[in-house]
Parts: sequence; structure tokens; C-alpha cells
Amino acid sequence: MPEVPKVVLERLRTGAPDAVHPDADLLTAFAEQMLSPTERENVLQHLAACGDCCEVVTLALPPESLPVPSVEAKEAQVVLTVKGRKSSHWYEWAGLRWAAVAAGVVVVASVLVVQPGKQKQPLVANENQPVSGPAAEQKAAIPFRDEGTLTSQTSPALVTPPESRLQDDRKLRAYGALSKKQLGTLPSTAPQKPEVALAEQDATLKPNATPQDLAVTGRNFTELMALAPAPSSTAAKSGAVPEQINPNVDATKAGQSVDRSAASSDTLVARSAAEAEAAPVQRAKIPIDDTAAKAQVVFKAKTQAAGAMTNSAYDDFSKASDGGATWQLSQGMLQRSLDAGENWQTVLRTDRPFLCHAASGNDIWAGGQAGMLFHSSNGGTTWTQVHPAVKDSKLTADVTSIETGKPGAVNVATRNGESWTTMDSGRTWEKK
Amino acid sequence: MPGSAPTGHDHGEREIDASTALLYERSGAAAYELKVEQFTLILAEIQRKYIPQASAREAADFCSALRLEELVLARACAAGNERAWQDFIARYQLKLRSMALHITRDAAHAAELADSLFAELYGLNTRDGVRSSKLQFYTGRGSLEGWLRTVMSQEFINRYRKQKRVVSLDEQTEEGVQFAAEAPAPTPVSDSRLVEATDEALAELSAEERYVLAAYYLEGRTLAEIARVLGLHESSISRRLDRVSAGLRKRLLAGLRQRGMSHAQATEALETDVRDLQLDLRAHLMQDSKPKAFPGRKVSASEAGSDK
Repeated sequence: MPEVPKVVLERLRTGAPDAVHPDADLLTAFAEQMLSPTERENVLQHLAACGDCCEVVTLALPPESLPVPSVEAKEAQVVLTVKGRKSSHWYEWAGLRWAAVAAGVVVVASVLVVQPGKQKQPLVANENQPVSGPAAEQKAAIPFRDEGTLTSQTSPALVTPPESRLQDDRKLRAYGALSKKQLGTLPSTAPQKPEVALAEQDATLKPNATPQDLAVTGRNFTELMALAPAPSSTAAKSGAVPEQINPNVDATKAGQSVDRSAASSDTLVARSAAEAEAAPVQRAKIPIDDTAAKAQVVFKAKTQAAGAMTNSAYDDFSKASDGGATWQLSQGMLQRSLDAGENWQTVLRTDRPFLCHAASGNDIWAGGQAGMLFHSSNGGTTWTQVHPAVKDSKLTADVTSIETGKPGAVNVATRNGESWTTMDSGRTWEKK
Repeated sequence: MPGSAPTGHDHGEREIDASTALLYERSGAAAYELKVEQFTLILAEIQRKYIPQASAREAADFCSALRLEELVLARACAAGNERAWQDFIARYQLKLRSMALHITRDAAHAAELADSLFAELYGLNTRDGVRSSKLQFYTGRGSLEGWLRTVMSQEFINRYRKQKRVVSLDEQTEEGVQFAAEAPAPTPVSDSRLVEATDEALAELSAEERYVLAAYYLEGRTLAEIARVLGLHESSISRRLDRVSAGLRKRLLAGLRQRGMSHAQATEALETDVRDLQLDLRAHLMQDSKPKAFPGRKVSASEAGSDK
């Protein structure tokens, strides 16, 4: 903003304000642009000289024009709480896991910025992290991090970086299928022939590979463990391996759960590694979505419960709300609250500000500058922009008020005095 | 003739009467057992207050622009009509609470503010056995809801001012003021020519321009708030500020040169000020301008109506 000489500011307030303040009616009418030019001039003169009235006028602006404090912060808080609760219920290290996810995102972002050409690896790394969280929580599969620990007990050289493990999706699928067949963890799975054949071929080709060689990929690791107790690949094929290896496998078969206390045997290491490798492919995506969905459900349930508990004391702004939602405008954005005004989510944001809104049951209307008009018929889930028009004119003026009447009936008033009416939820319009 | 119509002419009176009957019907006053005579009295009272000199035609226009339905509701409440009260409560009780929350930004204070205003609206104070409700001061010039917000804001500012006056030293320290600020002497402006030129330049501004300047620089209002108050777009306020400050500067320079300063002197006189503007403005906003704005004067919402 331009600077103004100090002396100007000093002199602005030197004239004592009028002895009499404009009354509340005048101030209200002033803010609502209802005064005659002379009256308006008088009020303005007073306001310029009177800090108190200036503040009263600003404070008394309709709620939608005042920013709602930290709505977003509140939202974030709620989301965090939900996550925190859920996670602590499932797994007490969840906080760290989410931190790890966040850190992963940051790392990935920075790598992407620094090395835009090498996108593949960071992306894979990113995929890894969430997998270790929700997948583990949901299915009790051993996450990558733990796998690292377990394998290191047996054979430190075999610990491989996640990037190399996941470099090739197709291969991984083959190994997942192979290892499952070998270990009998998923007896019903019919492995795809060519892939299994390929893997078996590999296994037979490298019967004498050193651990260092094998450490190159996780696939070799699987082979090693599979081959260790029964060096012949035909044994694996025949399905006799599981019994030979360890009865633990049966437990896995039954419950699909890994008992980490039994992690002393090589077999378990093999199995857990195999599972862990199978996990990202077969389970990773679903569990993540699943958790997200669950979190959302929890969130909704929570907010609804809050809505039910909060007495309607401070709700309002409500031009209407049947579905428990309350609506308001904040800084030109349309916000919805499902808990009687405790928390607000922005549901509609455009580059131009909204000026008014009306809600009648699940029908929500929001109007803004330059003829902008939006309608939602499902409580704000989806929105359509409505362009009211009659033969020779369109709605282009600022929409300053919306009124809903009978179902489908809406009346829209504009700043320049136009009045648009629809009786069929905006399909056809009539202009007055 | 129950009402004292604003004009003495018979013709005028008849015209008002005819239109008053129409307005009466439009206002739905009958539902609250408000008689035409009372209604006419109310309109006459409002006209006396705002347009004592108006012609019959102007008066009719004025009356038809009033928020008659809300006016009737408010006055019927003030008169103690049960049904009006039920309507008022149904429409505004929750709104009062949310308004209070918006104004105070604090649940406890909000409840207090809303409750006390509600009591005043209901008229707990009796004067000569007659309940006096604040609602009888509402005149329907703006919306009833807007009026309630304004009255509540006035009440809030009053309380806030009162509390400010007894603010503790601890709080002042917390706020970053190390010592109780003595009333800061107005910065002496060395050159009376500068003051004269400034006053002259300011006098040439329109009231709206002065308001924008004061609200933005002295009150620290945002462009968006000012725009809402004036019913304009934010960008036009920003342009206006640009234009006004540039114009002011030009006029000041011209005024100073008229008073015998050279161009260089005049420029320097202004530049010097601009350099420490930020600092001074902050000081101004923090200690000086607010308490000083209204020394000893209480803006009471009850005066809102009594300023007749």
C-alpha cells in the first residue's frame, strides 16, 4: 500500500468527532447501503473521525464477511485426532509411521526437485513407506522394516535396499507366486505357469550362488531360502517343501498371521520375506485405501456424533439444514459444518468470492460475483454451475441474495436489482 | 386524526393516510394486534427523527423503504405482544448467540453478551412500572438482524473499553508494553505550514476518502472489511487508496510551495515523515488512537435510540 505522510494521519483525527454518534439504525442502514446520499455522507464523516463507530460498523458486518478463525487448523486437528486414535488402537507406533510417511514425502519431493530425471526410484521408495504401515496393521504381515531386522539376524548380507527389491513389478509378481507355492502359504493360489517356470529356471541356474550374489535382489533371497532346506527345485514344485521345512507354515496357512516371537527359524525368515514381498503387490494398495476409507468413516462418525452432542447453541448462520449440515460463507468460500458449527470444511471455492447462499434440505445454492451461481442437490457433495438465462439476457450481475421456497423454487436477486426465479431447481428461469 | 402527519396540509395528510393503510397491510401488523393508529404513530415518530423537513411524497417513499415487517415485529415485542415474542425468539435467539460468538470470538464472553442483550431486548428494566425494551428504538431503516448486530457490537465495544481502562500492569507487560504508557504527547509538528497545508488537503477529500484513509491506516482495517462496509469491491478500495495518497501528496506539495517553501524543502518535509511512518503508525495504533478516539464518551447502545 502507498505510504501516506505522517502528518496526514495525525491531522485526520484531530477534528473531534461529532458530539452525537449515529444511532444503531443509521449505522446498520449505512452498512446495508440503505441511506440517502446526504445521510451516508454524514455517517461517513463521523466514521472517518470516530474510531469506535468505525469498529462497530466492522464488527457488525454480517458473519460471512468475517474470517472464521482457524477453520483449517481445526480441521487438521480433527483429522490428526482421528488418525491418532485409530492408530493407537491398532498399533502404538503409528505416530512414528505417519512421521515416516511425511519424511518420505519430503525426501521424495526434494529428490524430485534435485534430480528430476531420476524419478523411478524415489517413487518406489515412496510407495514402500505407506505399505509398511497400513498393510501391517491390517493384515499383520511383517512390514519391511521388521523384515530387515529379522533377516539380519540370519544373514546380514541378504538385507537389500527396498529400491532394488521393488524395481520390477512383473518380476516381483513371479516371486510372490513362486514363494507362495514353495512354502504353501496360499495353497489355493494357482501360480501362472510361465512365471513359475521362469523362476524355477533361475533357481536351478544358480544353485551355488554366494550370499553376496544373492543379495543383489530380493528374488535371489527367496530362492536361497527356498533352496536351502531342499536344494532341488522339483521338491518345491511337488509341494512337499512345506512339511519338510517347518510345521510353522501350517500356522501361517490357517491364520495368515505372523508370530514374531517365533522368528528364530530360517524358515520363518524365508516365509516372512516372501510374504513381505508378496505384500506390496497383492495387498499394499487395497489396505491403504481401506485404511483411508476407514479413517474417513471414523471421521464422519466422530463429527456426526459431535454434532449430536453439541446442543444447537452456536449453530445458526443456518438458512436451513435438514441433513444436519450448517452452511456459511467465509472469505468468499462456502463452508459446511456437520457438527453445528464446531468445525467447518470448505466445500466450494472459486476464484471469485461467493456473496450469499441458501440451503433447503439437501438443496444448496451459492451465488457470487458476476453472475456466478452454483447448485448442489445432494447436500454439497457435488456442485453444478448454473447459468440462468432468458431469451435476451443472461445473469451476469453480482448475486446478492438467494431465497428458497417450495422444493425447486429459488429466487435470486442481484446487486443491480434484477430478480431471477426458477421453479424447477434451475432448469428454466424467469427474469423480472 | 391519531397520527401527527409530517405535513400540515390536508392534502398531504390524506395521501399519507392512504399509503399508510397500504403499508399497514404490507407490514402484517394486524397479526401482532398492532392497530393502524399505533402504526401511524410509529411511522410519524420515525419520520420526525430522520426526515423532519420532508415533503409528503418524500415521506411516502421513505416509509415504503422501511423494513416494515421487521419494524412491526420489533415494536410489537416492545409492546409486550406474546406472539411477537415467540416469533422474535424463533427467528433471532440462535442468531444472537452466533453473532455474539462472532463478535467476541470467545464462548464465555459470547454467552454473557448475548444474554445481557437479550435481557435488554426483553426489557427487564422497568421504568414507572412499564417494561422498556430496547426494541422500541428500532426504526426499520436497516434489517433487524443488522441492527441487532450493530447494537451488540456497540455493547461489546463499551465493555471492551471499560475493561481496557482497568487493564493490569501484568497484561500490559504481556502485550509488550513495558511501562504504562503515559498519554503520548502528540508528536510536535515543527512547521505550522505543514499542518495548514495538510488540513487544507484533507478538507478537499470527500468523507468517503477520509474514511478509507482512517479505517486503513489508523484503525488497521483490512481492504476487504472496508470494501464490505462501503459495498464496493476490494480492488476498488485498493485503487482508491492509491489515488488518494498520490493526490494528497501532490496537494501537500502544492500547498507547501504556496506557503513559501521551495520544491526541495517541501519534498523533504514530506519525505522525512514518510521514513518513520511505519514506526509511528504502529505506536499510534497500539496506544494512541484507540483510547484517544473517544475520551470519556460512552457509546451506549441504549443511546442509540435515545439520540432522537
